[in-house]
Amino acid sequence: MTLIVAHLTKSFQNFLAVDNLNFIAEQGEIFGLIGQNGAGKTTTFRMILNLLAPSSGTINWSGQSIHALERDQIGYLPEERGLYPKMKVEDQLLFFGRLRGRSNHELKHDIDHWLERFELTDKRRSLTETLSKGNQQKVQLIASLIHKPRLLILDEPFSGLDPVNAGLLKEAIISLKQKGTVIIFSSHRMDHVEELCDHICLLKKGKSLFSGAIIDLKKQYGKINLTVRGPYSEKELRSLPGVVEITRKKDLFRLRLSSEEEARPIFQALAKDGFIERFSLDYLSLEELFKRKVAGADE
Amino acid sequence: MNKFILLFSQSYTNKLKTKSFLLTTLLLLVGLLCLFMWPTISNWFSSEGKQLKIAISDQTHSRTAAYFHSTNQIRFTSSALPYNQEEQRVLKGKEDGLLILSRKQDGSLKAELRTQKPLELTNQKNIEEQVRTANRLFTIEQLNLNSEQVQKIMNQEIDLQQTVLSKNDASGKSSAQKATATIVSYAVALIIYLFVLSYLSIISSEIAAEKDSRIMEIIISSTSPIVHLLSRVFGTLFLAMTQFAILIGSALIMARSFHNGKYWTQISDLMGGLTPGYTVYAILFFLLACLLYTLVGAVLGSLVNKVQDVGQAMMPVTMMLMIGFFIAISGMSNPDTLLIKIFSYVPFTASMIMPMRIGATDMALWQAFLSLMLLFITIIGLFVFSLRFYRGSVLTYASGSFIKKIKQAIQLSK
Repeated sequence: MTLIVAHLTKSFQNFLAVDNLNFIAEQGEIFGLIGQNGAGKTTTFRMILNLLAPSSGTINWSGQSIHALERDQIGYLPEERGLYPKMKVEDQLLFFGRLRGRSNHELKHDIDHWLERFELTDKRRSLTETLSKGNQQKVQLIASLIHKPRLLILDEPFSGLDPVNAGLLKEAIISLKQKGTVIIFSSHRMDHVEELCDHICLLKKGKSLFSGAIIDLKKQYGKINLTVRGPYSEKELRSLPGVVEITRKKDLFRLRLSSEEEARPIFQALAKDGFIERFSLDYLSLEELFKRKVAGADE
Repeated sequence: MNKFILLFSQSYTNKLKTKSFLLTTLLLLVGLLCLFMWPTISNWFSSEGKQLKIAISDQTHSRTAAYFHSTNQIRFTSSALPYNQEEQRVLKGKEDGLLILSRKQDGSLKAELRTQKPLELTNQKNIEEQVRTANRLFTIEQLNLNSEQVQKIMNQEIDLQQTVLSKNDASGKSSAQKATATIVSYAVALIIYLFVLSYLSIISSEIAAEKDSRIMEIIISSTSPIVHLLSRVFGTLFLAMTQFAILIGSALIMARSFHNGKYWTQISDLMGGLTPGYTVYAILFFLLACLLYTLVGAVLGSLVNKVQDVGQAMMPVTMMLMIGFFIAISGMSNPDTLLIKIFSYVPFTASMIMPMRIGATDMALWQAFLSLMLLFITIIGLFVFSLRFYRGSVLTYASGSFIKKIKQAIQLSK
């Protein structure tokens, strides 16, 4: 099972919402669609969900058009809370499960399982509107996956969740991935994306800035993030060749290098002064990469 | 089909369980109960002691006082006392009023009512009516007719027999038939008006809320927009019919049980005065009106962005409904005006006006059929049209005029 989006374009009267988008999301992996507001993430999701027809391009599922995939095999978590406020949590989940073709009997067991997993068992009979934002988000998530979809689309699943609940959600997403669900999700939170996704697509104003494995994106820039702790002054570090930028955070210096090759001479220069408490060289974080890509596209 | 049933029953049962539905149904039932118990209730408030006492000082030297008949509200007594003494009794509150009758120069009756306090309107009218009758009888009496002749004049009534000579035209209805149909048509118009007014906003709010909360996206991504639209329309219609059935059923039970079935007889007399054709048309117009307005409500609900905007979007439709209703009211006094003829073909008002024309005027039935067809075609047209942009409209959150939104929605639906 693979979702292949090829040359996907959606234009509205006066603007191009999605412009020649290409990506592949495979079984057993989590695919991240990343972009600022208005980048075209939701429009892309809507085309996969068959809510909007593409202007051109194709969306294929296991070699066939996505339309061949039964709607009951798709799970969708919209960006905003899509729940009935006056409905009890359990009824809500039963409704959404039945809407995707499952029977009451089958659902009961799964509802128990998921409510327990998300620590919502005591809220089973509560009206949805009485739940906290985070709990509502968890109910929403259960509603999107209660029917065991083969393709799960999550639009900003982490919004409104505290770190503990975000952790629960991550675990759930990973276990679904292991069971073979193809998962696509969008997020502003790059740390979540970095942690969960293997492949991503960076979107800006409908255009894909990058599509592929995160590690490939990182390799484009190389390991240019250098963190140093030792008896050095900022001035001293700044004078080293290849240092583009320097920031100080407590006793740590974060150096941005012009290229990965600069690291070795810097190490040698610093080692002359004796013991180095910390010297770590890393790739740019996804957040930094994203900012660079977006800024690069603006230029 | 399964998903339609799921969505339909969810829409129906959710709304059935809302407090507002239960409360309005209960209030309407209490209203009905009060209506049927009105004679009893009004008795509680107007006790026997409140009967108005009017003394008649008859100075006509004729038995004029005998023309006045006491009722539950007013008791007339003939007084032998001179009227200034009787006036004192009125001032002391022993009598409520003094009616002085005398003879005018031209032989008619002169009546003067002296009371301590101003009278209530109903009593005033009652006395005026009695004085008018007494005057007529008094004048006749002055003509020295015998009692048989008097009876004949008083009880004279004539029925105008009508025959329509042109064979192609519909057979003329009697004025009694027309009057019955007018009353029933007015009731039909009122029911349509009230029901549409309340259910229009119910369906619009439901759809607007689903759109606003993005539930719509989940629903239409798991089934088709048509199924969603139809499930909401029929869910609401069924809810309306449920309330209607509860009210009609209770009204009939009440009519049978209270006042020894007096109202039951009245209702069956009223219904007996209707032709089967009229009844069928009235029911069809009623059902189609509900369908049309529910569909309009659904479309409007899909076009607004937030539930709060529903009221504003509803304005033009409410206006249309009001126009129809007020024209229907104007038809109570004269159902043959040009205005009524025109609006009886306009699909949005036809259902409130056409039944009145069918029952209360002598028009050919093909006209009713034409109007019904126009209404039906409008519904089909609106349905087909709304399907073209429903999918898009539930995904647009842009602001702007409805025309702009519809255009955008059609664009999105492609």
